[in-house]
Amino acid sequence: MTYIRRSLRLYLANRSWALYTPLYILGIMTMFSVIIAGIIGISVGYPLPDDIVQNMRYNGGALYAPPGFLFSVGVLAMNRNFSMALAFGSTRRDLWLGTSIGFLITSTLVGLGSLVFLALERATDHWFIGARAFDVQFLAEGDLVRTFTTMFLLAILSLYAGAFFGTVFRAFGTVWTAVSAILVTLALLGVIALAVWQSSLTSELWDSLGAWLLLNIAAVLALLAAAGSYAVNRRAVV
Amino acid sequence: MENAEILQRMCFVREDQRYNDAFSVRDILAVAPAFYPTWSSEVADRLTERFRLPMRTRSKKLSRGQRSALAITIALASRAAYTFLDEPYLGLDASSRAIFYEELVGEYAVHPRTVILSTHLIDEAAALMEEVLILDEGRIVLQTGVEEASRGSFIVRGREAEVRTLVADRDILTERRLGGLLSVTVRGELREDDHELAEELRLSLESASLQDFVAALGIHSLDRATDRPETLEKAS
Repeated sequence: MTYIRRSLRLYLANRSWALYTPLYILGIMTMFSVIIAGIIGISVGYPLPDDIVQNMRYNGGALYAPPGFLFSVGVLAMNRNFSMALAFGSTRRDLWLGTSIGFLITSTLVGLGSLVFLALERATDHWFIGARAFDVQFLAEGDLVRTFTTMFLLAILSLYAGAFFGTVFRAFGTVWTAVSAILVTLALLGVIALAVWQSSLTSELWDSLGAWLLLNIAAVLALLAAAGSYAVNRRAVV
Repeated sequence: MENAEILQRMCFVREDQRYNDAFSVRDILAVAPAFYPTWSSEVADRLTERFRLPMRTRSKKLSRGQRSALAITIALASRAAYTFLDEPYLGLDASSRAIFYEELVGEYAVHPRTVILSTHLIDEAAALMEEVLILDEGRIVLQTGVEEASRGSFIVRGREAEVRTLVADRDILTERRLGGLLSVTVRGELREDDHELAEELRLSLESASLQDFVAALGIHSLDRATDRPETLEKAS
């Protein structure tokens, strides 16, 4: 455990990068959502009328804002931290395990941060003007478990996806990183094609699981990315 | 299979070591102690001060010399049982290199450990070495003490005919011609009457430095590998 803890400390060495910035991103996304709602309110008045509020229920900012940054954190954690950890006498396995614990911490923080913003949003009656960032349709409109689970899975999927491609780059170089990106995209398109082809089965699953179907798919993808990064990491060289 | 217990006794900061772009020097030096139970904060603080390392600067913004200074700081402060120094002086000015040699010797005296140093400034590093081991394509071509190695070759300069008279039956490593003058590096120790003969033939005779010797061995090996009858210098 001592060896794994060292890699965890490496991941957490820059707190701003691993802990605070994901929360800043959630905050900035909320701020922009409120500002946009405020600008709309200049012409339609405050509080925002019902039709505008209904549209804001489909605000996907929380879905789009965190993945880009977290993907880059995943890339750097498994790519640049790899060189550092090996220079400092770590094993590949310990680096992967320590970093994975770090990913869990970051993702949990994103989930909890989302709950805090949701609570603030509700306590202020949607930022006093009817603006919505977390009390939205795809986060089950205030369902705490769905909000936490969705944001947690979104974060950990982004981190492991970045870790996978970062490790592929470290092990096989630029060409194979591009090839693996193409293959992953084709595989995802294949799954979508399968879902369309078997539309009756897909409908049945959607009826029984609802949005949890997408969350389960996200969890499976995160596990696949994690397993892929672990397997490739064993072959990576400095 | 990597062995964590053994690896934690090693420190190998490469010449082109990459760090996390988001990390400042302070971040890197804050996390390094977690990897080494033997880490000395005192050494790290002293070296960062002596090398004037900018603690808040991100790793990707460091100059070549600052990267070398950071690598030296980590390697010496780690007090790892097996410390690898890969071209540690690149980009360092003469005074910073002097600090490095001084700190390396000081640290080694207080905490002896195995230090493996790769360098191209052989004469500058020679004072640190006790034994010289020269590898050529994985084969050991020389293993001896530093003093013996320094005595193990000499350079003869003068007019070609006279130089050839003196080195006639010797093991010639390299030849360099400039007009009618010839400079020859010879492997082997000087004989008793060499100085007398050199004076008589009006030749200059001097011991080769360790760097001259190693360079001559390298050129000699290259010439043999390419099967060239003449040395590279001779052709020029």
